[in-house]
Amino acid sequence: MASLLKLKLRQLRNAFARGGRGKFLLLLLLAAFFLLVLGFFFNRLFAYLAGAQEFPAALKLFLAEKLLMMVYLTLFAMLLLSSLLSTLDVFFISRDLLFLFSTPLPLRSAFAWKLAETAAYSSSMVVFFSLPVLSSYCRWFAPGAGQVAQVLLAFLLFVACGVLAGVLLGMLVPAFFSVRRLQPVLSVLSIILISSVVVFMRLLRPERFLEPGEIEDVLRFMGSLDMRALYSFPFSWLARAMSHAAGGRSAAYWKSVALFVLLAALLLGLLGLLRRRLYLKLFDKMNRGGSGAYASRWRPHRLAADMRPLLRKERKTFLRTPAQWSQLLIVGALVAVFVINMKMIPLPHPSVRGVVIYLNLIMAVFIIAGLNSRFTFTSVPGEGPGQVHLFASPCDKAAVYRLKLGFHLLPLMLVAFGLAALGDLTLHFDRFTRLLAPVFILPAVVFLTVLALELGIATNETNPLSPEHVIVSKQGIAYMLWSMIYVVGSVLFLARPVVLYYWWQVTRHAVPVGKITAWFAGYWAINAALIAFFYRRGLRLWVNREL
Amino acid sequence: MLEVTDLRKSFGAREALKSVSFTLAPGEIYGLLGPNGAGKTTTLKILAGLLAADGGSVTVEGETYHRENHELKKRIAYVPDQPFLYYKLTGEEHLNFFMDLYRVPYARRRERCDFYFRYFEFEEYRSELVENYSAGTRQKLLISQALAVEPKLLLLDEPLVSIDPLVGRKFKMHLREIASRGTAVLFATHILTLAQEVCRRIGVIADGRIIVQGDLARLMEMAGQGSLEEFYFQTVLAHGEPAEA
Repeated sequence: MASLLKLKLRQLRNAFARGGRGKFLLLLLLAAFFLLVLGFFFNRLFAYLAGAQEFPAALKLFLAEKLLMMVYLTLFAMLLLSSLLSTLDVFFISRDLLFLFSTPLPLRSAFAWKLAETAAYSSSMVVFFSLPVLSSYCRWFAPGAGQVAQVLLAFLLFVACGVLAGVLLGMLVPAFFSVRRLQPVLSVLSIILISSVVVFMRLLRPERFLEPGEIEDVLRFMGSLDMRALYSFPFSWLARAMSHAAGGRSAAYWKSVALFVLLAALLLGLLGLLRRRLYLKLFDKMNRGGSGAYASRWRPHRLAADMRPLLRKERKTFLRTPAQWSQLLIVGALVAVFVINMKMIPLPHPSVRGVVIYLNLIMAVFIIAGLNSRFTFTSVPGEGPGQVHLFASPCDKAAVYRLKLGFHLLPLMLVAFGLAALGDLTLHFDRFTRLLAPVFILPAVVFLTVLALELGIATNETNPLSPEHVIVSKQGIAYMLWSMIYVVGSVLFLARPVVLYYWWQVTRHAVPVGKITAWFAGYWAINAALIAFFYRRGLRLWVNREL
Repeated sequence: MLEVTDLRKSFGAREALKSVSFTLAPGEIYGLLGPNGAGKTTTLKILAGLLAADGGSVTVEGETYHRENHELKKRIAYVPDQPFLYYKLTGEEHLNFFMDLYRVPYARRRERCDFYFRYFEFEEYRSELVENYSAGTRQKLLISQALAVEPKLLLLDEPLVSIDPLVGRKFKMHLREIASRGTAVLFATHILTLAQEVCRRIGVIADGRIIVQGDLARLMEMAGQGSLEEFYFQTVLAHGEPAEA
């Protein structure tokens, strides 16, 4: 176990020493920013609950407990799913398994090591998300050192139970299904779950709770969560344990802890049993390979265009990689939220409509930037080592580059204009906004796609572990930063003609068409220069690439 | 058919190829032998268009060859040393995709697919996704797709890795057969018995240079060695000035 830990630490150190330092610092900065935002939100929330004069102390604790229960219900679902998926990967698919089993390492130690690995992979996000929640709660409800220790102990036991339950499920799954086929399906299911949570949270219309008159509704809503069935789950035990720690109810707190310990012991016992009786059998079954059930749907025909085989290959590999297309479900959820936002957000004055419309166009471009980071940016590295065949074959590399661009540009253009059309349907754009939408969206989508493609090629990655692995590369983080800078810059640039138009509308003077046209032309000229620059740079990198 | 003159390539400060020169006639099978890191794969990658040479020249059928010469590339097929494939395509789709890239006429595709899946004995994997193939089956697919485009020049980098002896024997027979029809074959290998069985000429590369090359039988006769293995060890261990037999 110590040797394996040393190996992991050495791998991390080497990655850090060989160019990973900048990436690590950037990630750290992004994480710190995210923690600050989340911390600010939860701090305000708990401060409000703790300081509200109209509630008695017991009610404050009760409301905080319900809030924690909602948060940890979501995190528990995340923990369960991610540990289930990690188990399938770490215990059955991982590349180092054959190596580990070929060494004289006892199975028990290898299993324990894999368990630790799964726990680290699957719990990291939950721990990360929990940091601001726990710190804010402790600050306002459980500030004593003993109370903080009690809260932390309960949280760690909660994580342990979630991970063990997920691993146990993950151990049983291969007994009934093929892991290689099930893992992508489960990934899609988890994404559907996340998308549903996003849409569900939006449909709850949290903005109505901002109205003081709606506070009764909030209490009623939280009261409705007080179902007996929920008390059987670890997320509820954690919320109660934290509440008991804050309220100084020691006996009740230790009762909750005992429940955690009992559950963890039971799950560990069951896992030990599975390790002895089932694990190696399932591992062998998993590695026997497929049965050849896939039917070929390839229909060779005369080449009408040079790019037809490449296009067909792109389409097939994309559709057969659920990790890629399943992300579209999240986009669907985002679009649903986007439409609901437009329909539900109350406008204080009709004059604000222009601003909301402009914000919606910006949102559409932000969505395109996000899609590009997931699809266009990863498209060249995601090609994998197979690109050896493209480079060794007589196909025109510049044409492949253009095909890659077109393959992503056209659907993204459709999404962007689709979002703008949805905005028009719900908010009824005026004539100016109908003109502004293409002026803003068209060059923005082209630029963001070209930038993503160019930076994707610049990764020089030919064998990525996964798209997620490429996104956190130096170029991936650079894309995220530059695309955000670009969107903000564009918004600031176009704010001038937007303000010009609405100002002249308000003052009832003639609209300064010349000035607005000049601003629009300037925006297009800058974009054309940027697009040409990055397009050529990407093409040069691609054509001169060495494998 | 192929003329390589003073080929040079560096990776940063490391000179992978210092000066590599050799020729290959139509129908000839030329074995490029040498220790690890000697420059075999780099030479093949330059000829396949995966790397750009820093200096020297390559001509194929009298025409100057470079990475963007697509007409010449149509006549060259390459089998890399690792089974790089698109895992989400089936074997048949992969073969068709490769033939598409080489513009193989539609009428001949089905016949070639049928032939190679049967010949290399992996017909039952034809409709299986490549990701489910074993290492040996992936290698069979790589070899099949290179042969299916009927190249004039075939570049093979360790082609028999992971291949079972029975299929290996069939491959050697097929190699001789296509060579007899005029295909020139250049292959890099560590398997000396394989080189001895199929090559008419060999070149031993060490430290980025061809240190000895020529007709295999004559080279061994001159060195007074009964086996290629002995000849190889003697040559590599005592390598100095380039020699031509």
